[in-house]
Amino acid sequence: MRKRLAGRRFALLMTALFALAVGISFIWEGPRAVYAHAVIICLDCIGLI
Amino acid sequence: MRGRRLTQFTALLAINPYFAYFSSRLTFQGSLKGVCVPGLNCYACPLTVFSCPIGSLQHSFVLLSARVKGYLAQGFGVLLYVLGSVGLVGAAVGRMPCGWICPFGLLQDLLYKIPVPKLRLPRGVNLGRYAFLAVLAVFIPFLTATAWFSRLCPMGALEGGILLKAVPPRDPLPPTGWFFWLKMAVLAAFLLWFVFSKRPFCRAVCPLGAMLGVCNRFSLYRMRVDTGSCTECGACRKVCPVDIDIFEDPDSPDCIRCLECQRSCPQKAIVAGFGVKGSRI
Repeated sequence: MRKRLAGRRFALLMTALFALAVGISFIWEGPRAVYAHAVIICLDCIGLI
Repeated sequence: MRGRRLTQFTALLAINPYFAYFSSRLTFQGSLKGVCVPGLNCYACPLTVFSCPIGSLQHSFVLLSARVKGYLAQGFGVLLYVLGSVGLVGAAVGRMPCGWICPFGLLQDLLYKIPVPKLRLPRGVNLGRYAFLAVLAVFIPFLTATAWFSRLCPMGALEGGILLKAVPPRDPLPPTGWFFWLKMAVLAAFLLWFVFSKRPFCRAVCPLGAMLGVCNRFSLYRMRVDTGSCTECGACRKVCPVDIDIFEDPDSPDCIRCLECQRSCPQKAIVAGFGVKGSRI
């Protein structure tokens, strides 16, 4: 039987850690920085560098 | 139209609903642009209202690169936000967005339906997406302060490049140069590949798939194969969009959890859901 990496508790722990990462990101204005970058047309993405 | 296909088209429209662009020629500026959609959808697309997680990930390393050089930059905030956002989805459902939401996955599924001789890819190509993640989406942006995966991304060419050239925004864009045509050539090559092979981008290239796929191993949503019922007939692989034998490894990082195998299994040996204890029993 293949070794399973983790059970339900591990999954819940990881979910909590990722949620914590999102929460902490607000301290460094992560969402705002993502927004500020996303509202400008990305010239790299469209090939007009 | 079957449930999954309908969900994919609905997601395409939900991610790209901003048809007001055609009249205003201004891209969406609302706060949803700060939310990373769990699929490969270019934020340069004039119709989108969300942000691309891979574009944002690269941007975080560009900012971190600037910080190392002594400039003020909030790279850590972006990095935590992107990893946390993608990780939350992955921890919940693993790579399921690839099978049900991602517009680029939908495109590959549709193009593969064109009836031509098909080309089966070796399993080793699946390692390619980790290389693209590590090198093009992380290391090179940090080293060069340039989002090189975005520069080469075919989805950007399709959704951003072609659409914005066809319907230009109010503020004029820079002139088209050789790099634009290189990007179009990359797009054309991928579109051709999609006709001949099953989801090659998802398997060999997609950094988002690499990140979400790892989460298959521990997500709350799991797959399980009842070995007592499974006869390893291969019916699952025939319908699998990423060409895997789910009975070998139900929590495989390659699996996009489209559930086509579950639908097609003649023995009803495949179980999927929250609370399923996974993998083979």
